[in-house]
Amino acid sequence: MTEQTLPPDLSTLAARRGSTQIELSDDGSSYRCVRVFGASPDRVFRAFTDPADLRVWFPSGAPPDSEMTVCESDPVDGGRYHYAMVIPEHGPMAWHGRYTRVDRPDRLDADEWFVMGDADPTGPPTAQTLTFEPTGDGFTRMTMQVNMPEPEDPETFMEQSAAGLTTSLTTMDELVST
Amino acid sequence: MSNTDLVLEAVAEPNRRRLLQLLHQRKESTVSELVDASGLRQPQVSKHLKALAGAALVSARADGRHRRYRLDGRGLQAAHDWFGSFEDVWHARFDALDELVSTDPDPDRPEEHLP
Repeated sequence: MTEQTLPPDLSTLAARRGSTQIELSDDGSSYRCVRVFGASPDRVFRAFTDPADLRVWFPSGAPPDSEMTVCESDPVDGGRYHYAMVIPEHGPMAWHGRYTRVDRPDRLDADEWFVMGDADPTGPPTAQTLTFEPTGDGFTRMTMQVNMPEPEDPETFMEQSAAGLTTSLTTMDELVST
Repeated sequence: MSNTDLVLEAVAEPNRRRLLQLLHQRKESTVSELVDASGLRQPQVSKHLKALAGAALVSARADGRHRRYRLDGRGLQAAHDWFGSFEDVWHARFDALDELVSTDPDPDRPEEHLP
């Protein structure tokens, strides 16, 4: 793990707003988000795993009147998490996860199944790895790597909406930019 | 049904996405060319093209006895905007998370545990 000095422009919350970098892999099978947060790795790790914290930030970006109906998380090796939301005009959706590696506060791996509606999770999961690196300034650089199971799996295309991001954005970007 | 719904329903079908990819590569194609390239039967290709045209994902022009199909930017833009909204969600989530941890760096409440 390399200690890096923060650029001065990321030292305030206002400056960090919108600074999340999202990169899609060339083949559309994975994406990576990188973001600096203004707290220690331990604090950030906790925000990703503590239900009370998750309820604060996870619903952000959802349409108005969306409701987080389930928020459970048991951050131990093999532990489960389950988030559910009801989104106006889309109905219920749920994220079912299993923590596959928990190294507090450095790293958190999980398999995740996203489902629309009330269905049980099926099929191969996405594999997610979160790493939390101290920046040397008391902040944390978080990297979220998400690997999709079958980028061309058509049947679950609509249902894996987050997954659809990777395969489809890549395709659509290519299509609209030419 | 909104335009976005039409577009998403149209691209949810794998053979239609295949046809979009083929049209992207070939710029313009007749139905019979798409039949040859896709391995689908002609009635299927025609049916899918109709759905794609209804969502403004493809457009057609008459060329003598043939109709030539090509991608239509209007539907593609709608799909692009919709998928792009997931990026907006991550930005919004992480901004909220940052606000939480940077303004509440060391809460003294005990961490919540499941029963």
